[in-house]
Amino acid sequence: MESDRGVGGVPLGAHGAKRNLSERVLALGPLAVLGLAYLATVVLMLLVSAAGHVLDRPVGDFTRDPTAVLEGPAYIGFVSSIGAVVWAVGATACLLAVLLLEGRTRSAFLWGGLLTAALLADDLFLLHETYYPQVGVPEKAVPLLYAVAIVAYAVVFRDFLRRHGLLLIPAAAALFAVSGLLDFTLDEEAPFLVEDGAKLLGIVTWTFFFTAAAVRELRGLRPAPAPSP
Amino acid sequence: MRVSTRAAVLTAVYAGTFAVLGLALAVARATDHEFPFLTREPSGVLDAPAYIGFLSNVTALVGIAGTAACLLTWLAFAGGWSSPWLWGGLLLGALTLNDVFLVDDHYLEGIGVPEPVTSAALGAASVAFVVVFRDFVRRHGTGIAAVALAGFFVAEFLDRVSQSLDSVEDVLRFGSQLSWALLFVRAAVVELDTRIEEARAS
Repeated sequence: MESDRGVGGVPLGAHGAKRNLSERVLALGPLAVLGLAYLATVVLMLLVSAAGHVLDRPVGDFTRDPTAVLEGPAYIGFVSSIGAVVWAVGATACLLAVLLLEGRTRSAFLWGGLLTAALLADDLFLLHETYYPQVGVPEKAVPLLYAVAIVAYAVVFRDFLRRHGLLLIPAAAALFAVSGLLDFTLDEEAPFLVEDGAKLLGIVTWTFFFTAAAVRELRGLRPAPAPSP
Repeated sequence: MRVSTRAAVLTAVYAGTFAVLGLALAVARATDHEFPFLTREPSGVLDAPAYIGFLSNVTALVGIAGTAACLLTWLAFAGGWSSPWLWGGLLLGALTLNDVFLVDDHYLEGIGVPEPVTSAALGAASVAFVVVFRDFVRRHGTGIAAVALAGFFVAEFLDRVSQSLDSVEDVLRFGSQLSWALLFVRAAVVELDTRIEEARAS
């Protein structure tokens, strides 16, 4: 039996036979976690080295800051970097909630976190412009896929949205839509301030929803006060 | 979070966002650049391959994850000003934002603060965190904190002595950020999980 833990009025339940994700992570111990992380780092570095070899690029092109490699001023992409930082905060909030909560609330954070991570990765690594077309997904189809995913998320987890701010995710989606439509429909004279501003506002709205929801759910897990004598 | 608090925080978040956009617009005008120069990904703006700076971006994500885990736990615990969660989040946030925005290389040097001074200050803050919150660190992984500190100091040393070891320096910096992030994320899970058990027991 799967139980729900959260502030939604669903009582705390027994774990049942399954251990929750946090218990599985904690069972590893700090040094085992560190060892796994370093193993992942070594694999990452091997991939970077292989990519450098294949693309005939020095490893430094992958490891150094893009503006340093490209010898541009430090403020290039300043707003884009802030957007990535904000996305990452939202993804982390979801990750913490996934590790600690259970049941339907956990599922809402899991799928919300995966969506957030997908949007973050796309933004930071220019996936829809560069890599998706190479695997047969047209650039213009990607925003539609995201739109479908967001609508599906909002429908499936409407109870979760209702509990933590029904309008926030639709508002974020609307802001992304404004930004995306301006990107596709307007030319060089496009009002970049509106296009990029709408996108950043969408990102902060999205992240605010998941961060506030995670804090609220985790705060709701306070021990009951001791009975007065 | 109460509804009124949520509304106040959301308003502050939007105000901050508009301030960032206004600042970007002002910088674009002052430097005679198009607005997207500041709002688009650097490799996109400079027409370079998207993989440029890949590890640097991953390092930033790892650092932000650790920072966010700390600050979210601080919020969830409603911690005070002397909480290790608050100071851990601020420390890792400073280390990460310094890397992401090249603060020590460009902005602080521009106002007369030499890069080695910034590095020394960040190193001193890291050591101070470990000393002041030694119980917290001991509880959640002294070895991980030691690796994080060692990675930072060796990377800074290499930065001073050799330009040809940039990649090694970047990998060490990544290892340091990853260690801090692991320490804090794992600690957050441990302490929040303990609270959950207490809630269940009560």
